[in-house]
Amino acid sequence: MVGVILTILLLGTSSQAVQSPPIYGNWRTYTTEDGLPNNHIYWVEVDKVREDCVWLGTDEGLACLHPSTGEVEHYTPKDGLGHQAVMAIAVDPKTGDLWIATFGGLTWFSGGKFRNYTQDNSGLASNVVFGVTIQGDTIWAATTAGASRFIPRTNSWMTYSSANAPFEENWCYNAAPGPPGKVYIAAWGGGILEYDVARDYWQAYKDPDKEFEIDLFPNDGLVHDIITAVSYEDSVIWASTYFGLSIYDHWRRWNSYFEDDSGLASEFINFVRAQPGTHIGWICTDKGLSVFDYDTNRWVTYKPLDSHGHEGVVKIYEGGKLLETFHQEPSIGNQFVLSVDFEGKDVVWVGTEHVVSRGVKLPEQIGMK
Amino acid sequence: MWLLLTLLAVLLSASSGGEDWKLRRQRIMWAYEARPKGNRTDHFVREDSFYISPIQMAISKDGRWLYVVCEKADALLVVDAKKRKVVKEVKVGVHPFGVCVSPDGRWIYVSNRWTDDVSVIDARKLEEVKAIPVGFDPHGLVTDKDGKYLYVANLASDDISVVCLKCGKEIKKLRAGHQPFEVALSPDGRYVYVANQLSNPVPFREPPVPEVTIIDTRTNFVVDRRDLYATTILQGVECSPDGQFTVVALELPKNLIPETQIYQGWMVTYGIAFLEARPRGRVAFLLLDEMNKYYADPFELVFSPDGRYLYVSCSGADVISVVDMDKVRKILKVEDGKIGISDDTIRRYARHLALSNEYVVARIHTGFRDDGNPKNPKLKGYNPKGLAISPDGRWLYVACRLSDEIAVVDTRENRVVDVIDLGGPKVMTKVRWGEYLFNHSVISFQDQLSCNTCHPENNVDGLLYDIAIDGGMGMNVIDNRTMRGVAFTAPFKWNGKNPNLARQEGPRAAQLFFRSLGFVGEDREAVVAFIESIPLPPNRYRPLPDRPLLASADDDPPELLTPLQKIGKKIFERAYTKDGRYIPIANRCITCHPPPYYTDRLLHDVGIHAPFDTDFEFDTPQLNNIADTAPYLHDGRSWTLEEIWTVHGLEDLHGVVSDLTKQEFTALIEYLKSL
Repeated sequence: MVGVILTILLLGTSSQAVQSPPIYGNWRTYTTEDGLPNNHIYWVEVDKVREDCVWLGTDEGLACLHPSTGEVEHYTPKDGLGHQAVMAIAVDPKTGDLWIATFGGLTWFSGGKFRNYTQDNSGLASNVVFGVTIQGDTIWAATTAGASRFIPRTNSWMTYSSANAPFEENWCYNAAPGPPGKVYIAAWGGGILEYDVARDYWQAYKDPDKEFEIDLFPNDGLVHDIITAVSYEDSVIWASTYFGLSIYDHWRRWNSYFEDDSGLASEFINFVRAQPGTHIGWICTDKGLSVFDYDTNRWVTYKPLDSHGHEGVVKIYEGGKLLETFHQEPSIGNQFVLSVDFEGKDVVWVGTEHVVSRGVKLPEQIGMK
Repeated sequence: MWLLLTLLAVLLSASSGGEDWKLRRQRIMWAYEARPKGNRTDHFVREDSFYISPIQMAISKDGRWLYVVCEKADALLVVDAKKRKVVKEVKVGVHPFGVCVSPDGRWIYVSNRWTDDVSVIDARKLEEVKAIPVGFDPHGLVTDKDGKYLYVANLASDDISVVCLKCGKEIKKLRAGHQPFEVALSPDGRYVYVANQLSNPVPFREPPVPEVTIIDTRTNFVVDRRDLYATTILQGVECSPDGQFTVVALELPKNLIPETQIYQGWMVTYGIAFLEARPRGRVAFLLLDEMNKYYADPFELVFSPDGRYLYVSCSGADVISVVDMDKVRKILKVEDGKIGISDDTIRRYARHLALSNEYVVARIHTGFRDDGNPKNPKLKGYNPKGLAISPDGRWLYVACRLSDEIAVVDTRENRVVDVIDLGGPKVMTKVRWGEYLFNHSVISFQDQLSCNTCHPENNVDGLLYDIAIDGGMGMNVIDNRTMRGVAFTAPFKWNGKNPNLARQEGPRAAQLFFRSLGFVGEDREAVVAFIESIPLPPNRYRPLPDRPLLASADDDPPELLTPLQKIGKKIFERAYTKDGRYIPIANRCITCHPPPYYTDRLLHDVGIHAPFDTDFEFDTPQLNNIADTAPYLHDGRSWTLEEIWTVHGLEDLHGVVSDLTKQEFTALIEYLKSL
């Protein structure tokens, strides 16, 4: 009996001690001095199928960083890449091939060789590709002229835009896989587009109040129709805008988040990505990186205090209430955060406009009162 | 009637449980039967239905059984290698090609080109137990060392199916180069090498660059794509028993050089690529030819078990070339699996016609020429293709495709000592003789090339040719055209000068291609009969029907299109632009490309004249199965269908497309692929 009570007490104690989202630290930054081709990191993609490879989409091509050795492989248009501006990267978990969104087309990288698909030589809607994702055996490209779908097996293309789908604007920023059989497209000025593959059906999610400057009725839908990114994990859709964050919970409830009622570092959000297997979203803003656990309503926000990532500040919020502030040395390398990806459960990679940073999960007592 | 057939098919499927593969095959053939075939059948006589055409072989580990794929019989023949006779015929899918045996010998796998599946055959019961759907037009196949996975080269979908043999289904497709043809497993089981028959896209008037795709079997990812510069028709691929090299049978074309003389390997030479096995390794080439004698159309390779000799079936010459690998190593200065000669020397050897005497130690003639083979007067040995070697290396078996037999070579003497009759008619029909001539290089000067050299599997090699006599050096570069389904598409030649195939294959081919007398008399009639008998293969871009479709051979194919293709069809047939402008009849797609073959057989100027063309009007090509015949336009300047209009046809002279949205344009492309 005593043992059972002790166990319950211990379990209770340990559950109380769980900090979620956890705190990350021991940041390590990589720049051109470490061999990167450029410090402007549009995209960071941890290769889940190859060991020791973090893909970086930069202003000067594609790079593969091998963290264990610090070695960097660098690819440019001379190697066959569509353009030097690499905006997004997707690694096909089945084949290991890379699909790369560039400003000169959609580039396929496999076995050390590149092939570029353009608006001229294929059904790609536009050469300006901002996003790419893989859904089953299908590749989706978010372009400035719509969302293009490519089925390699039949070499078949299809483009969706205002001409054949509920796109109010054709300029697409980002594409992300949804639940099985669904794909999400983040459209600039057009909200979120959800495509059901089996039904060949598009569902649009838009800002109901249509107000450009303010969110007139909070939690009524998307904060804004200018969507910079969309991410899906376990029945929760995350949408980033330049006017705040929106979360759609189990297709039932919309929630909006702003600087003044949450721990969001800034309402100008470049990108959002949900952490696999959790309800935690990593929100990349122009003033730092915010991490939000939808289940605990807690926020952790990281801001560097200098331009080198030597020192930064971490703030922990519950709802909109600031719980704790502490300094971190080193910190994330730059506050203008553009992308994020995860290496397992304990390591995160953060791409910014001046550096890429790698952080590791810290022991739970750090940052807790 | 169709209702009954459907009911029968459904009942069959239901009663046998899990036999959906049979229904799937049936649906593929229903779709096929409903389409125009583009060939003439009046040349056929009864015997033409009974040829079996052995093409590939596998041998059991103990050397007792030969498994022979017979493409025309839609069957696998099991041959007792000891008794040298056929013991069993196992029916498989339509147009089988490749065969391999599981490492434990329990299962035999056969790829079926037209039904796009792999037959799984129980090696004990010798019956097909199921078929696994794979990609389009599957060719070579191999299992990994443990028999867990099967790798299948899908020629028409440019990919490789990775099949989980335990779960009996394809688990993924890996993108290959263009037209993956054959596969080989490295001796340590680590890598699968895939030879891709044709070149990846290259800039206009640049040499072709096909690749060897290399798959790591531990991850089932493509880890390397080895470019073989200025080569084409990569078919056979094999790994040396010591694991140091992968060898590929190929052609080294000189198609971009104007036709000024036929000496020293003009147009094409034949050789072997030696690829270092290590990642990103080097590649060297050695020719099989001699200065004044060529060994056309190398198809398959096999090593002797000790790795000393490499046997290559030169199918267009009715010859097996025997290569001494010790001598090859010496010439290439190989040490520890690394090629020691310089890049310059590699380039020089790739064109060196006087070198083969140093490493080709024997030529084993299987064919009709008198080669001192008196012991086997009954052997015809036509068109040697697949090879298999006994475990002790003593016997080399050669599948002679066009004489329905297996030649048995004693490797100690390097000559044919016996022949295994596989059945089939003993008479040579006109069409069959034409097929033999089409596939043999004897017609050309110094035996340089056969029709098959540039038309592998009766299709295209994807190359441009500069036939200087047609307007001068560097002028009038032309794209190769398919031989499939051309019986009703005269005239021929891009300038339409040849009114019929008899002229095309007679004086024209003699003058321009063969530099010889060419086909004359009955031989010419036979070649024409064969070409006219070549049907279109299935079109994979149409939805499969649930029931038989009723159509006659010359009808427009029955309506069975995807929603997107239906939109494309409307565009193809439209008379008005979207803003209501009238499209002149002469500038509508369907005017020049009417069904069923989608050619009006006339010349038209569609605004694609190039500075080096002397003609402005070009023959209207047929559009059937157009996805299989890239590149496009008369000079092959367009690698994709889209480029015909996005890059080269901006003036709306080649149909009107400038008012189309991207979606509508894509729909048009999808419709074209369905024709």
